[in-house]
Amino acid sequence: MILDTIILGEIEVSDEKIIHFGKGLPGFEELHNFVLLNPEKMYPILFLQSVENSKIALPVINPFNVNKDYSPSVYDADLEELKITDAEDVILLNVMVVPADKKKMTVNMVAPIIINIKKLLGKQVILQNNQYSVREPLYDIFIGIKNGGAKPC
Amino acid sequence: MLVLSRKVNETIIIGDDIKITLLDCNSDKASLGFEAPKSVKIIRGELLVDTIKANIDAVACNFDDLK
Repeated sequence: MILDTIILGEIEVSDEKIIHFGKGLPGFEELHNFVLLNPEKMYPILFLQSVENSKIALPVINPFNVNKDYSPSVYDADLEELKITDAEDVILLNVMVVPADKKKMTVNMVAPIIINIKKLLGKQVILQNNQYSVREPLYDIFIGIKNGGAKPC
Repeated sequence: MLVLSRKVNETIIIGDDIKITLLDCNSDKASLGFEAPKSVKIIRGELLVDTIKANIDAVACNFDDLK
């Protein structure tokens, strides 16, 4: 199918790239299907683009690039809902907020988006951990990743 | 909404296997203890509210600044 996207304009997307979010995303409960876009020039930001609403795309980042010691403790009920049986099938992405003053950009480390890439199921979950925050400052780390050695994932 | 008054150390039972105990209480803060099966998610309400706000802010970003 042809998909209209904020970041890349119109692109061709095959059905097996569409990730289903059974409950939508917090704030966007009516949107159930997304594709993950990885424009090279935007590294290390990826975008979770809604299939149903072309104007909705969330900037996301690999949390392990942000904090190599990130240790999310996910409720079993969420893992079951995503039919996760093998850690190899999972990717985590955390939503960024980039205000006009980008030095104030933040990342939500409390609520990673978990995707079962084999079954194409996704959900944004609230972790059991209490050491993370919804708006952790990101700018210095972001610039470090952008200029640093970490490879695109 | 069901409203129940509890004294310290009194409990509320929800369903067959969830118990909530009022552990401590002062004028503007109460400590609650939860006993529930691991499958039950217990989350501070404001984390969901804040995540909704952050997601809405996230889609309003101007991405051109980030290239």
